Amino acid sequence: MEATENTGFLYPFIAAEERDERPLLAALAGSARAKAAESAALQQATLTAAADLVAACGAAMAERFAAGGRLYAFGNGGSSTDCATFAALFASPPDGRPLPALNLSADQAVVTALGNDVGFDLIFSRQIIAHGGSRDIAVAFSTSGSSRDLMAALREARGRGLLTVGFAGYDGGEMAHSDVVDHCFVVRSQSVHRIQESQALLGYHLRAATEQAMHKTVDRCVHPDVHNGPSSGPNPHGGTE
Amino acid sequence: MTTGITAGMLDGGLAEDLAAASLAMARRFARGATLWCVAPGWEPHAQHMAVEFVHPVIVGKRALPAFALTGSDLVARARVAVRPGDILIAVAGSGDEVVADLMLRAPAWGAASAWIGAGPRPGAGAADHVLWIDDHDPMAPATGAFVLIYHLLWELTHVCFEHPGLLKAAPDTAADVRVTHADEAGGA
Repeated sequence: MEATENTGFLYPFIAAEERDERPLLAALAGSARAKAAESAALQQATLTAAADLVAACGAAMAERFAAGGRLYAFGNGGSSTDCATFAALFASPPDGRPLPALNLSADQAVVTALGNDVGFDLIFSRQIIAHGGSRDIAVAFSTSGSSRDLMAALREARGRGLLTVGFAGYDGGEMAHSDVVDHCFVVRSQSVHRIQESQALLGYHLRAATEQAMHKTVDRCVHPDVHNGPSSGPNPHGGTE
Repeated sequence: MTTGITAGMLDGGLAEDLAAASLAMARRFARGATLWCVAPGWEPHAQHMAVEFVHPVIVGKRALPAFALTGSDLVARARVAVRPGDILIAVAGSGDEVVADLMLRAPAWGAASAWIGAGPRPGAGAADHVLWIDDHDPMAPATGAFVLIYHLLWELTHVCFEHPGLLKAAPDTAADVRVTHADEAGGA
């Protein structure tokens, strides 16, 4: 990169009269690099701190999947999209075996019906009541760790015997201190953006740990789907994937 | 399996590309642009980009008009939705034909275009702003790398609003580049 001589600080300007874009562009690029470095450092620290938790949670999730369970992911706002990506990573992975995972934020008919009729705090817990069983997994994505709709759903999930997993930021919020969350991942940062970037990577590693544990679990359980190869009988789904 | 950590991701010129894209976007927003977000292979990224601009996580930052376009026939839907002066942004690999088609048509609609992706780059001039991770990690859509890119785009765009002098009557060099590209496309 060509070094840009940033001498703007020597000449205080009136912002409305600013005409030379080069100092701003140099400052923006510098800011981008600093934030990316901060993000990478947080990701490294988060993965290091959570290594054992990722392995344990992945193993517990693999047991549920092997028993025929489904994964339900939920979150608000940007976290609703991150949980959608997380669910898609299980349901249609670029590599490995697809597993049943659904995003409870996805269906606007369900979300708005529940929000309108019973209140926003219950948009996910009512879906857990409808769908959740003791073989299943509930995964909540939050940056605060304290969203009321997520905590209500985790509480409901725990009561119904689901495995409960929470992603939080800051100091972990309610999730970190709650007895309804079996595995809680806390990204220790004060920035919503940096928290979400690390949560995405944690989710990616959690799925990889689950996949790895599935192989061991399947070897133990003799799961029919895995041991029936493509040539062992008609595929009830008619697919060739 | 790679760790997927994004260290060094911005070293190959991506930081400068993000800076230029952010200033161009801020200039368009200042003139009333709407941001249209697409990500055909990983639609949550389109929605995450849109919610980022519509409902900022930092209190006090202005809400900006942005929509995610999801589902089928994105070209037909963008054609009726996009107005001159708008911005079209995509998250997709360079092999995504729908996104390539959208980026190609953007100048005819009067829209600036930005393309976020990883792996092999799209051809030169494929979009006004190509925001690319050159290391090819097929899992990039799920490791947070793209999330970082559009978070930075949002953060830098809002920094530009603190420089009103640079937002008004600014030369839109990106649009000039695209005239050439559109001419080439038309002659192909």
